[in-house]
Formats: sequence, structure tokens, C-alpha cells
Amino acid sequence: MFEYEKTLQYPVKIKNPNPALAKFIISQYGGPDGEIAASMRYLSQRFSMPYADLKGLLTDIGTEELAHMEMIGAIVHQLTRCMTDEEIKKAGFDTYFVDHTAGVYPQAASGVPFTAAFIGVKGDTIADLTEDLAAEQKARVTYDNILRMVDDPDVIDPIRFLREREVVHFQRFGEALSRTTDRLNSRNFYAFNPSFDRPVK
Amino acid sequence: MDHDKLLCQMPECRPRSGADIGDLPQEAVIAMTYTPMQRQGSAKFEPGAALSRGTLYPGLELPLANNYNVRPVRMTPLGELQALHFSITELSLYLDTHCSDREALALLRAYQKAYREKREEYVKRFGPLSKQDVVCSDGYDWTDDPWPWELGRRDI
Repeated sequence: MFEYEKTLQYPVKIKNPNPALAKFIISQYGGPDGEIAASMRYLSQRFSMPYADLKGLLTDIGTEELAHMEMIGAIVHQLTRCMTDEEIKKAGFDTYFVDHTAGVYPQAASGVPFTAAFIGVKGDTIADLTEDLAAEQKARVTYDNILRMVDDPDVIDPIRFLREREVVHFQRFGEALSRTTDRLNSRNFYAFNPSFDRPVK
Repeated sequence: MDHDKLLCQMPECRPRSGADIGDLPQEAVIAMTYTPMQRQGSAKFEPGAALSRGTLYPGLELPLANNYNVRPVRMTPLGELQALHFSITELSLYLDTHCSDREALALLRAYQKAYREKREEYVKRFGPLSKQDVVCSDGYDWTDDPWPWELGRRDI
């Protein structure tokens, strides 16, 4: 089960609202490589993971991603507070505003709403961990691209933190793949699916 | 961003060290992806620096454009708590794939102890962090503002 801890993982304190930034940062909330996709991917992949240590890793990273989703929500919320009609128009935030006002809705920067089609749960240990490696890289690039567009240090700090987490998670998923192949026969890693096939007694 | 300039301006204060080098399997067969295992005893940041940099491990800090400059997170009572909580999160991920690293396990215990003490102190001064902390002596304070995504009146 999950229980709420009433604090962010890393502080988000944005002094100057700026809806123009919120318009694309929302992608890391509900976009294809966003934090909702990350948490749903790992927390769902856990159920078919056969190895105890990696059930732990998927649980721990999936849970951390929920905290990241909250951080991105906080960033978007703080960037869009106290907006005037004029500011909304000038920032190009009008297209988001007509549908969601200043609410935080899970969508990509392009406006595509969050969909489970963004994630993969293949039910095969090697395939799922390989997906996770790619997912961390794609999220890292999205944060790179956000950092290229932002010059407010109050926004850069938490985005930089989140980007660094993608690098660490990539390392851990790579190690998880090694822990998986350690248990398989290197003559043929693909002889069976450890998530599905029962071990031969 | 100038690609060639960035390539030749790798910061000298951050040379790749032994701690950044991991171990690959001796018999790495083809048709598989390999990530080097992070070695035991890798260099570590203190909790405050770890939170500010986004990792406990200098060897894993790989910022865009080699920009290693960060504004340190202010070590307010909440900042200290977040730093310890983050260090525990980070060490746990490491231990998930390095369960036999006794030094990391000992560090985890030390951080857990420090976190428990700081958390108790924080809850007494500033109110509940989880439902388990809610003591109703002065009324029900779980729902009190500010919630974490809001800019608080007091910067705690």
C-alpha cells in the first residue's frame, strides 16, 4: 500500500509565475516520458518480476517516480498562479487555459492527454528492464530539452535534480539486467521467459 | 550549445576516477546489454550535497553541458529532513542491486537513525508529516496549510 508523506522530495519554490514554461514542463507530468508514465510502468511491471531484489528495485524506483510527479505538479502549479487574462494570452497559455484553467492535467506538451500507450509491460524480465533503460534515457533528454528553454534558477534547480535522477535510475536498471543475466545460462539468455516459465525441477 | 567546445572543456576538477569505473562480466556474450556494476566503496557526498546534486555518488553526477554548478538546498529543518530522506532513498536503490555491501548497509543504518531523530523533532515543531503523526491534543492538524506544492507563508 502507499501512504502519503506531507513533503516534496526536493524543494520547489518558484517566486515568479511564468505560464509559458508551464506549457511545456507539463509534459513531464503526463507526457510520453513523464513521471506518471514512469511510476505506472515500474509499479505495474513489479507483478511479473520473478526476482526478489528486482521486485524491490521496481517498487523503490516506481515510488520515487510518484514523488517526482508531485514535484512537476508543484512546478506547474506555482508557474501558473495569479495569472491575468493578458498574461495568459501573451504566454500562449490560452490553449491549455480554455480546457483546464489553472488546473494540473496530465498531458504532453503537444496537448496529447496521458495514455497507458506511453508505457510497456511486456511480462518478460529482459524486455521490461530494457524498456526501463530506454525510458530513463528518454526522460533524461526531455529534461535536457526543458533546461535548454529555461533561465529561471528557481525552475532550473528542481529540473536539474529530476534529470540527475534519470541517470541514477538508468544505472540501477542496467545493474538489474546484470542481476537477471547472472541467474540465466549465458549459452542462451532467451531460452525461456523467467517472468512466465516455471523453473525446471 | 557548442559540441566541440564542450568535449574539450571537461572540467579538470572532475576527472574520471577509479570510483567512476564499474565492473563488467568477464564473459560478456553477444546479444545482451551490459551496464558496469557500480563498485563497492564509491565516493559519496554528504546528505545535504547529495540532495542538492541529485545523487549520493559523484561518479553518477553527469550534468548537461558539464554544468556542475548547483545552488545548494538551504538546510532548514525541512531541508535537513529531505537531505536525509533522499540519502536513504538513494542508498536503498544501490542496495537493491548490491545487497552484500556491508559498508553501504552500515551507512543506511546511520542515516535512518539520524532521520528518525530529525523527523521526530520536526513533527513536534511543525506538525504531522504522515497520518501516523497526527496527535489530536491541539485539534486535528493533518489538513493544515501549506500543502507541499504550495509556497508556504513560512519558509520551513
